[in-house]
Amino acid sequence: MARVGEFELLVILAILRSGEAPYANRIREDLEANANRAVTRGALYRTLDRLKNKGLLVWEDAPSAAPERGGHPMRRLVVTALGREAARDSRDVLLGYFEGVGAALDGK
Amino acid sequence: MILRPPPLPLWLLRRCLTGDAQAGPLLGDLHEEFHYRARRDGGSAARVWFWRAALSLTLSISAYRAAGAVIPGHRGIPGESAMSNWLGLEAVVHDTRYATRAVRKDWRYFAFAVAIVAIGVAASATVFSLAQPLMLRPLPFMEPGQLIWIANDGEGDGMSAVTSRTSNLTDFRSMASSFDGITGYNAFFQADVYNYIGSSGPRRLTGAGVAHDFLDVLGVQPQLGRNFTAEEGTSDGPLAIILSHAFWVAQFNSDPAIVGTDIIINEMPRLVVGVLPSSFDFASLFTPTARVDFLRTFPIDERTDRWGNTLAMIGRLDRQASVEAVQAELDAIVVGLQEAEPDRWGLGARVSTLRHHLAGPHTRAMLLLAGAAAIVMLIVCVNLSNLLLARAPRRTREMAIRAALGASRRRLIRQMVLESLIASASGAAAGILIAHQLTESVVRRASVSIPLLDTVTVDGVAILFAAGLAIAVGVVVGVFPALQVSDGGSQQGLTGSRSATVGRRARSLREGLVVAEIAMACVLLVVGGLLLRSLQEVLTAERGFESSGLVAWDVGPARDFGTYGDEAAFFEQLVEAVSAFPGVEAVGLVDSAPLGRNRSWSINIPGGLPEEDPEVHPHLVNDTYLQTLGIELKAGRFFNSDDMTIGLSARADRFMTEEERPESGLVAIINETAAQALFPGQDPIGQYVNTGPDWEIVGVVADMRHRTLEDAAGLQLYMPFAQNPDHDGLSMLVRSDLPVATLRVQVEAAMQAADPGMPTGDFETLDDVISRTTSPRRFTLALLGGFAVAALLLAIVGIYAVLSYGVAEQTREIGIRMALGETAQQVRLRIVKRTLLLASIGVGVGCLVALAASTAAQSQLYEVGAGDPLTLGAVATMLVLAALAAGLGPAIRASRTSSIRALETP
Repeated sequence: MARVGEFELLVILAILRSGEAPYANRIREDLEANANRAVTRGALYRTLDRLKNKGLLVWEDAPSAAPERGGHPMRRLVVTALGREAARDSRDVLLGYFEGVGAALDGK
Repeated sequence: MILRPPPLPLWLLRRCLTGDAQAGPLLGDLHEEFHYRARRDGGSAARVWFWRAALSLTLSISAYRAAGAVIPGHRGIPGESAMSNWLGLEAVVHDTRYATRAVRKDWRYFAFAVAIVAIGVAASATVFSLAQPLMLRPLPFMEPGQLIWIANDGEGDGMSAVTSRTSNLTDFRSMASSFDGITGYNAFFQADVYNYIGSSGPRRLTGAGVAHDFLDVLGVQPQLGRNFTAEEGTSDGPLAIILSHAFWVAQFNSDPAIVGTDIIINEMPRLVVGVLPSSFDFASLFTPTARVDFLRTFPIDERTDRWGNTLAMIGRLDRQASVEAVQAELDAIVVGLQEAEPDRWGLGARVSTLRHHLAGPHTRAMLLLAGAAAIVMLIVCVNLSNLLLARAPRRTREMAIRAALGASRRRLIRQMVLESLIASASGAAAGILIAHQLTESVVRRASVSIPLLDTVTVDGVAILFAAGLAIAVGVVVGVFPALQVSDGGSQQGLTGSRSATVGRRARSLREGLVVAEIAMACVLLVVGGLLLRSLQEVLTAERGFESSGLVAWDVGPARDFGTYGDEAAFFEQLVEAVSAFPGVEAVGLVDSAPLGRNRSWSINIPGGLPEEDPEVHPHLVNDTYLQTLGIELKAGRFFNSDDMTIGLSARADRFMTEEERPESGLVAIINETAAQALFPGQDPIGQYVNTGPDWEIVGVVADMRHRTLEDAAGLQLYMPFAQNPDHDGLSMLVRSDLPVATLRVQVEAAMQAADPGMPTGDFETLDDVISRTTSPRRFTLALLGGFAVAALLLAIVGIYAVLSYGVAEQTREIGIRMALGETAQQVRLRIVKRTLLLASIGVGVGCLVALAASTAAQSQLYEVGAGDPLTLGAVATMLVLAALAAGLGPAIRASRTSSIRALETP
């Protein structure tokens, strides 16, 4: 059973995709650019909180020298093993469901 | 260049988050988001977003802290708290949502509460902002607390009585041990003429002469370049100037390369050695309403010492020294110097802190305004309490239900306080905007002569003050009705019934608050009325000259004259040229235009009387000046053209030696006060006064208020400027019915023709001068008057609200009474009587308090007593009428009560 909603899944995937820069603002930029979604700061942070409470995500403060952050630290987001498992489960469920509906989905 | 978020909201947020483990990442994310938005939507949109985000966060967090609630997500353990709770503040949103729902249900109440809190906060934040630079913020110097003002202790109230000779500075410097440094500036610098030909033609500049170590003692570092050297501070040293920041920006387009180059002023090259920082505006501090374009050195030597009392002295105290100890030391030095040199004059020292010197004259006005703002705020609180009390019975039932369903009393109180906080916080936000507008309009009126007024802004501190005030009001005003309402878990609350005793008690409480409101409004109106009457008295006081139609031009020829006779002829020709214009009635010359300069000279009367050398205000004038001003001749004659040719110095430096002075022919005119003081019981015509040479008195003229409109004329001495060259430039006063714009074109053309290098743009109508000299009075009156009107409106609204509510509450009682035979007229009369009673008690108490308050405001009054019956009577009548008007609506509504419907009302 999928343990995460669609947006939560997108957030987990965005963190996993982000490689060297798993930070909230990067995640949001990625989601806006590639997932075709307008993401408000509040919605993203609430989702991050939910994922953390579910044990799918942890974070730690990391110093940042980026001038854009005015010298303030950042939160480095890390998807836990449980989080990766949840993403895999969601993928499996989705792919399983898509199987065989190709023609119906395209309306042919 | 990296874009920065607006500093004010960032600062606010930082203050709010101080000491919090969450602060770093949160601020970082906000910064980053700001840049993200700046890239996406542009800088302005990003700034607007940042303001909104930071303010909403600050307000939410402050609201939670004020309500004593634990901030959601914040457990004080780093890394433990959740991110979204900071930003979304879900629990705040939850509680706030309930409160906003309550507010929306009763939006009229909410809008009203916001409006009145806005008035109160605007008044308080404005006064706070205005008082800040002068009274609260440190002065813009290094360790400003160590700076003291050393005034002379001369007789009279002219500026010469508080300024010192340069020898005093030299002696104090060498003998006093309690100072790290003593310095000074030439207090009469505004009379000096500096012509500069810039890109836009000739321009008259104002340069303040300062001792070479002036900036060092104040602890001001030039923004560019350096300070004056000791060599530049001597009479024959190199000519050096330091530009004011504003002049540097306006004239030289902030070009740093100007430092180290020469600029030509009065046809002499002067080396620009530095540029002052924008934080130090000489004029704004020491000569508000004037403008200072540059500092030059004022030599402290024997030559300047002969000029008499010229220096305003400022000292920097040694860290261990106290003001009292310094006063004692200087007293001892003065006594010692006087004993060693019994003939030495102008010796004295009166010490006060520099802040006291600058702020002292305005402290009382500021305190008066602060008191007025506090009263407005109190009226706002009373109004709000009244509103909440009026709403209380309705809320009791709702709260009783919530309590029955399990809400704790604490939770209910928090809920009510939050509602009150929403109203007060929104009101505060609106109030801050109004305060911003108000202070801007005050600051833009550059002619208010209060030091540092041009640095007034509604800054972060003022916003914090306003926010604190709003929170305090929200909590204090909200908590009492909350306690009352949340106590409604009883049967009584649920059934909605109340005992008659409770109703009566609540009504007397509300009426008591209305009486307090009327009393407070009365106090403000009385004080405002007295200030208005004072201004009226000042403006209509007999000033001795006719100001309307008079325009004064500063005339400072740029060219050199061979002899003083040539210079005098130049001025006379200019007067002739201007007089010839159609529409010009009269033209006169004087070295200090009315209300423009404050100085005094010691004179003596050959023959002995009186014993002490009297101080007179000297005027160097031409033969048409007195007639141009419309000053009445009381005895003898006016000056004539012959007087303008006698005693002219043939020397290029204008001044004559004793031998060169003519034996006779120097003539003077005195005013009536001088005639009575100097020659009591005698005919002054034909007598002599001595200022060095002897002057024969040929005329006596009426008194004229030359220094301020408030002060009596004092002793005045008029001398032909031709006979006394002791002036820098002259003012030309032109009386004409022509519009100023038309006159200006003509006069400027004449000035240009006389000397193409002479600046022509420095002119002012005498009416403007009068308005400037009364500006502190107008300023206080405008603000206090505004507060008084706000108080009156609030009181009217308060009376209306309480009576309306009372009528609605008593519908049933009124219905029964009417059913038993009371007529509509009797109902109306009863309510009107009640209103009158409340108003009369309020006015009575208010007048008593106002008497005490206006005694405290006595220093702001002029020719009007604290208990002025006219003002008291007018205010009392106005308040009673206003109360009646406010009470009439509810009274009529009550008289239309239908008995049947009233009895049906549950």
